[in-house]
Amino acid sequence: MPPDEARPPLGDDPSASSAGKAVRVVRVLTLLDASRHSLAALAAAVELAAARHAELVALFVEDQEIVSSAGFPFAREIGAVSGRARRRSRDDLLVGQARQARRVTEALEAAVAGRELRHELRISRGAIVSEAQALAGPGDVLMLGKAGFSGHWGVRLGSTSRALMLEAPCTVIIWDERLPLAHGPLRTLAETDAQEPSLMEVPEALARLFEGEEVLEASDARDLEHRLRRATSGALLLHRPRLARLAEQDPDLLARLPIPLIVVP
Amino acid sequence: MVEPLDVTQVYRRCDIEAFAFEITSELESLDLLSGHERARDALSFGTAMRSDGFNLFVLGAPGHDRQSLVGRFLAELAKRGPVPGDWCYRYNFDDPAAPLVLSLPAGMGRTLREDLDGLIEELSSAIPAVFESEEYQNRLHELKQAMGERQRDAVENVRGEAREHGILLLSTPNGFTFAPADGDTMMAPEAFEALPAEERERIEHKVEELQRTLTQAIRQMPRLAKQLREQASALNEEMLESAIDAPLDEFKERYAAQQGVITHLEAIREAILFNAESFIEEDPDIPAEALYSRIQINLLVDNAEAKGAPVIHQDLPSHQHLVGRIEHHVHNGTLLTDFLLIRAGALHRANGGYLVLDVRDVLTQPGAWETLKRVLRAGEIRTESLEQAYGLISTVTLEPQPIPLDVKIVLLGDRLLYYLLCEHDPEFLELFKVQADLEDELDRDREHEAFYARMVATLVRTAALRPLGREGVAAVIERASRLAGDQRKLTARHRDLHDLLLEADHWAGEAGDRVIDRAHVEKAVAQQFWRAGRIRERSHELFTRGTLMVATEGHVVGQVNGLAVMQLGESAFGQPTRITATARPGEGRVVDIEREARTGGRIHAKAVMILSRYLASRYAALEPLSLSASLAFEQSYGGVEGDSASVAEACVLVSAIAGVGLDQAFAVTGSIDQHGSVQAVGGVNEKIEGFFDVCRSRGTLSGQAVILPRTNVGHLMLNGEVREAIEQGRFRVFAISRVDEALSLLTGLPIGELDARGRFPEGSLEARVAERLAQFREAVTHARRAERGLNGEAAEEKEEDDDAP
Repeated sequence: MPPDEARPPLGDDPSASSAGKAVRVVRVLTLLDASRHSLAALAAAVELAAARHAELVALFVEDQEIVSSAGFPFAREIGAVSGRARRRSRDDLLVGQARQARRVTEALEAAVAGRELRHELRISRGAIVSEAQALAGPGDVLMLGKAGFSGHWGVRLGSTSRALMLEAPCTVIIWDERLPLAHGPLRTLAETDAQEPSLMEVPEALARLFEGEEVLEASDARDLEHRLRRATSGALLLHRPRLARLAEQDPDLLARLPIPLIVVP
Repeated sequence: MVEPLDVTQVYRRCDIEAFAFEITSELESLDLLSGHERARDALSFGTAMRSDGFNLFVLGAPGHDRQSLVGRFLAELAKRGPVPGDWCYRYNFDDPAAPLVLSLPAGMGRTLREDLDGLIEELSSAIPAVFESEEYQNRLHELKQAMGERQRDAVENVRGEAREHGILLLSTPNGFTFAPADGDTMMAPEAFEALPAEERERIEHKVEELQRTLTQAIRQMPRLAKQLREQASALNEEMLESAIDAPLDEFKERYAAQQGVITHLEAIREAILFNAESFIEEDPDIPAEALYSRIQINLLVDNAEAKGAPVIHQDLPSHQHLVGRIEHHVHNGTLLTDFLLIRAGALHRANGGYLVLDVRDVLTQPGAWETLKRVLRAGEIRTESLEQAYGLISTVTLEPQPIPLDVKIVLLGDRLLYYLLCEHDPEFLELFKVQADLEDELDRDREHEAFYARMVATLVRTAALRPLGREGVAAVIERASRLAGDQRKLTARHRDLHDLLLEADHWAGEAGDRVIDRAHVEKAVAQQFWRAGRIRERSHELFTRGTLMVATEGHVVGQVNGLAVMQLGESAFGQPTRITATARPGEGRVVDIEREARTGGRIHAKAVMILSRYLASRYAALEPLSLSASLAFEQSYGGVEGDSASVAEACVLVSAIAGVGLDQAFAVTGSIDQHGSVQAVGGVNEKIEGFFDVCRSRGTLSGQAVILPRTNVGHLMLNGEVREAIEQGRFRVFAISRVDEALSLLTGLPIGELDARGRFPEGSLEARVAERLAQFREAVTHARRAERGLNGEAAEEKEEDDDAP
């Protein structure tokens, strides 16, 4: 089945990439690293791509920096939760990355199995953020898992997700693996600043995934969190400048939101 | 010669001249227990004794309306008694499976329940408001933010320190690693190797130090998280206190005198503070609604509107209905229960008063009798199912705290049950020390007739019937005397009397009369008789058609009419039965054919032995009685019991021995002793009326008669038809005290007494008997001699055969 709204990665009208209804889902991108979070995001990405008849592109980046860091004689990995330091050799890391790549491939095949979905797995080397940014273009949707440290000191948003959310040239969806893919309203924030894109400029393709819209009157990060504390379905849509302001007010806010977050440029 | 009884002797009329009223509505009501002084005194005593075990057992025949007799007495007594308090169950916050008892003054339970509902309403709006408030949200946010910063700072500080020493903190999939920096990027390992040894050593040393610092920082994360939880919970508690303390304090003030309520309120406060997350979390372990429901009380017994001590009559005294039950809700196929589903039993409701139970009902309900005894022994009501009590189930359920019991149990039952329980249940008399024995009969004299009239008036008034006229009351009294089967007694069984009055009222209504009179009462009696008369009529028809053979005229040797009573449920009727006898020479035996055929009962067998010894001692005091006689109840198939035919049997034997015919117009009833005295028997009215009916249905009455013991004359209350026939001389009743009198009436011969020569007068009955017995003796002697001659000595050892002449 041909994608109904297939467009080149870079749209004809560059202004359309900043915001507005003209943005159409061309590709659904997702970052894979074999973690639970990324696999959950993969499942959501498959759903989205299938729903929009878009191409699914999964990106697996072999982080070279980490591999080389194992070359130091004193190199140790300190567990994020246990705090335990352990020696890991360069070979271990390479083997690990190869294993990850294999798992990612299998996971993607399993996720798209039985669906007529154009999909591709790209494996590259370098830094994750820069590789992802290089891949993404306006009109794409980047689906990210809510990576970070889970467990006894709470969920935090990973640095990769944080960077991509604030910098990627396309729409970014932060998916929380703990949440089911539940239909509900797409929540937006009421804006008073005329400089900001208007409320209605929600990508149509995304709006169709949800049951109506709901406008939240939230003045700051704390207020937003309070208003969303009983939310169980739907998602929150934020424009990037607004997101940046909220992240300044409370760096951990994005990690604590109980529903998926959609960031449009 | 014995004279027949006149009509005044066979029926005692009630003298209406003694009544000082025209109709019963003029009479004042009386306590229906008045005739039962003994039972009333026992009830007064038993109810006044508050010690354990002084429970009551009211004994009486089924015809006593025990329930209403005792019910009225207790209701009167209870009116003056104190109103007991309310009983509630409250949630046990320490052990939810064992709800706690809350005792309150009467009426306070209802108020408390409403107040607690109000409190719940207040809390359910006040608590969420507190957590929604800006103050709470801000403070909580500050806490979280501060804690987030502390967590972040712990890592960032390490990162900063590393940076200062030219080292980078890198994130890996599982955690962190350190690497020397080359500007903003990581130094290549090759470049590191190229550094001077000193520099390398410094970096290596620093990295080791940083690793230790980071490890420590990471390891204190759980402590920080715990601190956050503690601070948040302290905040929650602080906020909750602000919401609940004011309403709880106000509540405590209102119920300051009730320690139980105060304890409950304190437990509520603790539970709310302990379960703060119920009001905050989206999906808490204990939802707020569940917590609120624990505040409520289960008002088990509400005495708010009681006017005195309770009197409860439990008509289905099953285990559950006595001690209450624990109900369950079905939720997703699982049975759930809580303290609010405990339901009161009759013992709860009667606590502080009286519980009236029918003992037969208690005994027939599975486990109920044992439960009742257990409760009385323990002095407390333990609400548990029968399965639980007997350990048949072991599922988790409630074990409510037992409620102290202060109740007077009044059992109602038949005498038989009372004596059976005394005999077979060793605990019975320990727990039911007071017997209240109702009278079956009241004396009939002028005073009691007037009293009975008031009783009738009371029953009529209670049942809202037409009043009775004087003749009506007289008819009721005469009927009561007949029901008692005694001219000098009146039945005390209220139910029979009550039914008679209802029926008489019905017939008065049918006749359009406003006052119940003799005619209505008599019609009611006649109708009762008619309704129950089908079998009696079929039975009498058998006599009329000759299927059952009875002679009512002429003289027959060795045959007499006995009288039997058939009891069919509540009704009874009499009928004649043909008793025959044979006599021939023999070895002094009277063969009771009924006994031989095993259709006779023990008492009958005893009576035949007595009469045969009487005959032997009378007619052969000094010599062997060479007689072989037999006795039988002809056409009797259902068995014979009782001794009331022994006079008739004695007469028929004498007739058979003497060969003298007996007058078949007579029927005989009465028992005899070994000296020939005639003793009283039962059912004389039914027997006489039964014989009368049979004689009348066979043709015109011509002086047929019944012979009965003189001691039974006082029991005669014969019906109008028999009385009329007696008055006209067409039917007679003779009362005798010696068997000779019966023989004289039946044979028409003088009995005869021994003269100076030891002989009976010629033509007397005794002379005939003596003569025949002498013939028998001679025949026996002759036969023996003949036998000895034929068989020699050996034959003498052989037992005598009855058939041998």
